[in-house]
Amino acid sequence: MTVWEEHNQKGAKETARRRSFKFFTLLSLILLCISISIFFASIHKTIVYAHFFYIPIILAAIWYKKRAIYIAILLGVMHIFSSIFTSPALGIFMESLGRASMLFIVAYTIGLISQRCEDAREELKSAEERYRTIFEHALTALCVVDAEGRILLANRQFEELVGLQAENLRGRHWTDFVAEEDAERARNYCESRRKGGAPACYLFKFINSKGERKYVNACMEPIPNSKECILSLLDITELKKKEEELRETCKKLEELDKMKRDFLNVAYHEMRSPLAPIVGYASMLEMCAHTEKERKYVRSIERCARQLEKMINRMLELARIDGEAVKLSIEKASVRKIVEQAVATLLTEAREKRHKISLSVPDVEIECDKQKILEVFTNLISNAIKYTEEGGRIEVIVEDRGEDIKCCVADTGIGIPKEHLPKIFERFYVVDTSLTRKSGSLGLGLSIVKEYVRMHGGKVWATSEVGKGSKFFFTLPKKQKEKREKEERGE
Amino acid sequence: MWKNERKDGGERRKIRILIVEDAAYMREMLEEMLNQQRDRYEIVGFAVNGREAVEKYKELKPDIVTMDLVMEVMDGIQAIKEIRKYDKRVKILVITALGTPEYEKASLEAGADACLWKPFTVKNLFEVLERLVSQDECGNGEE
Repeated sequence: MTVWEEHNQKGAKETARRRSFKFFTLLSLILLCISISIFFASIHKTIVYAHFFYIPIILAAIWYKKRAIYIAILLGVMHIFSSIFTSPALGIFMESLGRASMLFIVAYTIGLISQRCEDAREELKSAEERYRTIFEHALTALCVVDAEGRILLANRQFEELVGLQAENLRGRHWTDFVAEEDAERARNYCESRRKGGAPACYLFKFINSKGERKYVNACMEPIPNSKECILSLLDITELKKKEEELRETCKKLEELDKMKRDFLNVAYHEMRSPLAPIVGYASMLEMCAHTEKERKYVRSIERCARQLEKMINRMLELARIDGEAVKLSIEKASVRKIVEQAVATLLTEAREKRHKISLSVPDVEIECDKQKILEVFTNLISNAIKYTEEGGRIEVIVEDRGEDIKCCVADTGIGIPKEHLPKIFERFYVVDTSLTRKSGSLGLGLSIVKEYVRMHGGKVWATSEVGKGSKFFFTLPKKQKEKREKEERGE
Repeated sequence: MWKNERKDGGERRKIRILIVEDAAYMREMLEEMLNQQRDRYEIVGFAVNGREAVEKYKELKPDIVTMDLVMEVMDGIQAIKEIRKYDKRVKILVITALGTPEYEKASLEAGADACLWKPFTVKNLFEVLERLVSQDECGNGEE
């Protein structure tokens, strides 16, 4: 049973005892007054002794409030009748009536005042119960301490935190439970709060009765017009533990990230190094090849080595984009020149497959990383060439939309099934993974296109119809945000 | 610089190159490539790490140093900085597989004049060497 429940039980017994006392006291007084009144009335034949009735009336009003009016009515009537019996004269009768009225008014007024006091007391009691419930059932550990810091009152949470019952806590100093290294800080904190220091939470180590160490966030608030303070403690041991675990995990992730970056740099270097003698010697062989066949063999070696180099470069580039190591080098560039350059590098391949490439590109300049946008166009046009049967048509169309440009690379190729369209820009996604697929693709080219366009603030998407062809679209803003912001700042 | 040096039969003297590369196959390949134009380029020595590069440089005083970056004992970036303490004019060409903008920037800031990423063709190599040579011829004139 808590302190409060004990208190309630005692209170109920006390109330019953008081009620009985009041009733019998009042009854006795009324009977006494009646007896005295009748006695003196019979001797002196007057009603002067009606004043005795004021005593029980006032008491009844205090104890029974408005209900006392009934007692007043009863006594008033008795007073009138008693006056009739003692003296039948009208004047005496009227005086009796007046005195009876006075009795009623006194009773009513006192009853009203008494009722108001009782209401106020009930309200106070109700408020006290409300705050008592809040105090007792709060999820935070709460205690009330006196001017010296000794515990006067503690709630259930505080008892659980400390590991002691409330009766064992009373009189103990709350800083007894603070770890030694924090004890002085805790005392200084209390001092500062009592002197009106700024409200603040204070973190300290808490040692409960079982010797367990906990992390607690404390907040002390002085109670107005009192030397007492309310101390609120929040056990954040679990939070601290999770914070520590999170910190460890972050540290591990940073280490893993560094390992990944180091691995990528090493892998990139080690994978490209053997390509150097392959490409280098192939180029020298080509210079001293005697027959067309020899030159053809050598060109084949070089082409495949370059293809491998391109795949390695793409893997590294995507990894660097993930690690935010890739920065844009923004400059004003002519879109037409970029497209023409992309087409020029792929002209040989296009001619081998007898494709027709047409361009519809307005003379527009945009702010972009020229190399990256060149790679975007190159990747898309290269894909169009690769996935279109011989004698196909490839169009590059650029539309100037004022704030941005919309680019389209369209082909009359094999097309992409609808179910693959949402995924084709994902890394390593290859539409056809069967043995009969067109080989030579790691599924990274479109991922790079998407990343480069995204870095410029644009969007990329595709439409396609199997057997008819595909269209790859992307937008690019004409001005880049950073530059725009710098212009606005006047830099 | 090269115009006023001793001439062989009225022709310009050969450009002297020090090759700094830890991989034997790369040293051989560079030698084979440069031998394609042995009348123009002369290999004066090889070094397998950065420290040897600095020592060989001081001994041989080449016109051009080709510098790998990933090497034991002393890496290429450090070796470039050391050589630059002695000579601001020698041409340093970084030849590496670490073809990222970060390494390019680090090389140029250390004092390299140009970068050539592996893999490269013999044509790529001569193009960049000629560019370095012509920079010097245009920039310096007579001493």
